[in-house]
Amino acid sequence: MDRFSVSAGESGTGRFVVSVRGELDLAAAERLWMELEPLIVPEAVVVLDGTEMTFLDSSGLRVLLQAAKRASASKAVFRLVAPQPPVQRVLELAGTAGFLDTRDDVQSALAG
Amino acid sequence: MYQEIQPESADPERAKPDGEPVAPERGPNGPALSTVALTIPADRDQVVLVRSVAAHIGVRLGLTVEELTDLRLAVDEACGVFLLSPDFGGLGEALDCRFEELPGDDGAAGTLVVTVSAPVGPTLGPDEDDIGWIMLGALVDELTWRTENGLGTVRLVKLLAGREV
Repeated sequence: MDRFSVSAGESGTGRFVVSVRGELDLAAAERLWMELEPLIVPEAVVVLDGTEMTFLDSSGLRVLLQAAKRASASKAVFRLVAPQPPVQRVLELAGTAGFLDTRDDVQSALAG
Repeated sequence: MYQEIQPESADPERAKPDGEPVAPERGPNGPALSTVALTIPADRDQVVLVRSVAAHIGVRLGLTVEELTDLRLAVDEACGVFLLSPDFGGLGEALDCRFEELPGDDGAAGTLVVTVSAPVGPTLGPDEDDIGWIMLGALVDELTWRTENGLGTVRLVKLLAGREV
């Protein structure tokens, strides 16, 4: 069984949900960036749905921060939904609250 | 590739019923209450094995869910010091990971010491401004890096305070 999977879908014009399942670690980080990068274009809203993302390390975090930075530079929006405690722990340790726009669920992440 | 050394010696059953620890056992070459050694190819896809072993050991030591989360992350980041470095030899090399439970002196808390080692060149070492290294420092009670005879080692210490090991 794959420890990590990522899939992207369009949810309305210019609105994308990238779903990540499993462990976003140093083995998986580059694959996620390959999925995310082409979607972060001007006016796009890109939501990373990490509802089933069970692990995050600094490599994965770097990709999330890189996506946020790219979005900010491209006048796009990048939002994160990542409720699992091991992932929350990393966000808290790294103090990323001011850099990553996190929402409670995909619905609210796509709104606005 | 997966080797458990003297697994019986850390059996929680060895503790006396009142929780008082039994006299620590020593291996022939120094303290080795219980040591698990794991060698993985220097491949990012294999780090999951180190996380799994860490989780298994953490459960056996009675760590809380939060502590287990931290331990898995810590060993992952320790492997990352090598595998994410552009100066690392890469495929063909191996990472040696050791998990040692050490008894405390005179009733003091025991410790779990984790080391990750690999052959390194003179330029390889942790970047102390790197988010991974900073997080690693926050996850454990002690964190050190050293190089000796061409071997780089990340050493993590976790105090096992307040639990009956």
